[in-house]
Amino acid sequence: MKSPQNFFRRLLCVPAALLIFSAFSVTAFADAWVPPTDKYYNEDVYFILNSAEGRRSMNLFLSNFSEANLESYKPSGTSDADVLKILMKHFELNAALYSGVTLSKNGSSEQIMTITQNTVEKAAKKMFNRQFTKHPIGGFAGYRDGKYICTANQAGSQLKVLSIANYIEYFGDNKYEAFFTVYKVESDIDKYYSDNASEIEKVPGIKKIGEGSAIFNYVGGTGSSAFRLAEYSLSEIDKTQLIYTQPNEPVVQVVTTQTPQTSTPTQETSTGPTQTLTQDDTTKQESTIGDKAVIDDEKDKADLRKLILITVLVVLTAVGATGVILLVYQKKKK
Amino acid sequence: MIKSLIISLILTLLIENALAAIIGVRESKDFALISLANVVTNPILVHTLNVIHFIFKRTIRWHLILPLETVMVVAEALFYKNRLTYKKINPFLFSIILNTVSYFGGRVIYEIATKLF
Repeated sequence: MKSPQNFFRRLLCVPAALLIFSAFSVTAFADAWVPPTDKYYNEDVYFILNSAEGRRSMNLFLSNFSEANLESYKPSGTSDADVLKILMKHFELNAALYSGVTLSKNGSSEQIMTITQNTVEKAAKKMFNRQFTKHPIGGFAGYRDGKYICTANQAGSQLKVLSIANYIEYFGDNKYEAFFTVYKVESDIDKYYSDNASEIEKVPGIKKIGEGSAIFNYVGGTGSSAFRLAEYSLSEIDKTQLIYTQPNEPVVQVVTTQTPQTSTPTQETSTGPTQTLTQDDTTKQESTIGDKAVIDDEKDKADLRKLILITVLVVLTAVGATGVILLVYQKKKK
Repeated sequence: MIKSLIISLILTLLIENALAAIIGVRESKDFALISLANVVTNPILVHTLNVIHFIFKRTIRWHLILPLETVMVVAEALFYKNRLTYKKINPFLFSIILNTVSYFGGRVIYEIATKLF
């Protein structure tokens, strides 16, 4: 027969247990997570959306792709020609930021954009972590004397497409994934780059047009140039709302009637001589990329072997300790 | 990987045994049982999280830790049931207290260590 004291003690155990468990789960819900042990993991990047400045960097980085109508990007599945197409749209919309981009007009009032090879290479590296070594990219017909020349009739248009990051995940090996929403903004886009999703949803006149995710690497530094795109995909997009859809057609012959527009370079100021790579340089760069892929593959295999070995060790330890408990303590009980 | 397993196990053993002593456990065989139970559960838990991180390349969040911790709490409680000489607290509650404190204690130590070093 149980004493009433024991009964009350047991009765108290239940709420006490529930209290501890709910405290555990509530705190866990708020912040409990295991920070990755990966040496590349950077807490400032993982929590970048917590500050207005960080949100601005990330949203600017993502918007560069969404405003250029990038729908998906995979390093192995996207051709150099497709990357060039996105870069051209990016240069068209942000021409004033690049000293290597000049705009002019031809006789039929069509806007022409000239981009130096150096600028294309730098932007490909900065935005897509892609090394362009052979020119013209994808046999681009408007390539002459180290310059890409194409139509850019939407240059100077007000920017209206904005991506707002909702949260960031870490994959290991310096790979972060940002999940974002794409919005169409009617005016004053610059003031919204620092917003978060809940703030932007409250602004009247802003329309959600899509959603997506982008995997990126952090390469150090601050601002939107601290990131390199590794993969990008839109899970949904309202194509009827896309704005800058006019293609940048290659211009084979330019009839310039107006002097190039002066731009205020803020992002890229290098106007040095265009880079001419020899066949040897190209081969060296290609083999370096190939070597890195082999090293990464070997590293993965070594990690897997280590993981299997540790799994065996953990199982053996657990079985051993359980055996000791069952044998020693069971005997003592008898 | 192995370093995280060892550090986590040592921290857990220190915290749980200290807490058991505070709660009133006095028998050395009880301390040994608590240590053995943790040698069974802790490496499995930490390694499972490592494996999940390796395969899915995702940060480990609460919704994964919570069910795994619950399984470990129940497993340890089953080890304690009928084996602990200490009978003042129900073995399940005993296990919940030890694991909750060691989890959050470990987190606090980790935070302090990462800030200092």
